[in-house]
Amino acid sequence: MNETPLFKVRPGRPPAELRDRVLGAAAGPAAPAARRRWTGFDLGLAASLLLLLLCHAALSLVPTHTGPEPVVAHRARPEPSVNRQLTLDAELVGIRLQAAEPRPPRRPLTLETVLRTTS
Amino acid sequence: MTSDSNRTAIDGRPLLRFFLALAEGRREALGDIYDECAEDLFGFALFRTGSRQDAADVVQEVFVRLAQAGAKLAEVRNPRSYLLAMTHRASVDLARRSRRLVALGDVIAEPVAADAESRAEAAVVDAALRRLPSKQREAVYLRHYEGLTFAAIGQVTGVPTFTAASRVRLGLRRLRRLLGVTP
Repeated sequence: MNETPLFKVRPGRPPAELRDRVLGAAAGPAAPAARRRWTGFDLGLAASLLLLLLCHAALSLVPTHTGPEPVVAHRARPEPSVNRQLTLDAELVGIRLQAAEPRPPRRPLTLETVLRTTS
Repeated sequence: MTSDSNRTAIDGRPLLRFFLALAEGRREALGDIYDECAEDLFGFALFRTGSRQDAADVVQEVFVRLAQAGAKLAEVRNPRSYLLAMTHRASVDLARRSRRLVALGDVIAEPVAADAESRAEAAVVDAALRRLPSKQREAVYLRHYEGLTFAAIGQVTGVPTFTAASRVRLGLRRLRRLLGVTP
């Protein structure tokens, strides 16, 4: 196996300043960490957030309706008091009263009627 | 290529002493370890990553982890392999975190001699090395420049011995083909 070409070269050597940087980093938490570079994921995330921010800003400038502010009518709520209970009772009485109304007379049940409905 | 004194330092006792000192909390041993083997670790990282910036980051990460290893360094029997394995893992971690393309201007291998012919030959070898897959280039480095066995290469890179041997064989074969060297 001829490995001659590899004997003509040697691996690149570290720069002189690397020693201080490495030992400084290894010294403790106060030392600067290794370089943090932007990856594709970081760039994509940053671009997405920026786009979201711009869209939000643009949408906030667009008017959502024309004319005066619409008036929202709120149903007047009764004060929670004795009157409310009396009102409810009246409603219940009303239902009962409706239920108490006489029903319309039924058709007389004859044999002919039974045969017609069951055939 | 590493000098004989460096290789002795890596193979022999000084590194063991430094590891024991570091395990006992004597942080100045980090500087001693750096002086003894940073060149080899940087070269290995450079072969693995193909970038001087990445290789520098890898070496820094190795020493940060070394500083945090604490008392378990006292159990290390082969500091050299331990450091090479750490360098390999840090290189892999860096590659996972960053998909940055390799800088075209970086040089993996430098000429041994200073004359113009050597520089020209080195440029050709460097270009050929850069065309190897990083795993093969890493295996070639460990085999040729560190003199590791296939089994040791496998332990450092976390692959079976057969796989390590294949990477060396295929890397050298491809290198010869690129350089037009007949076996």
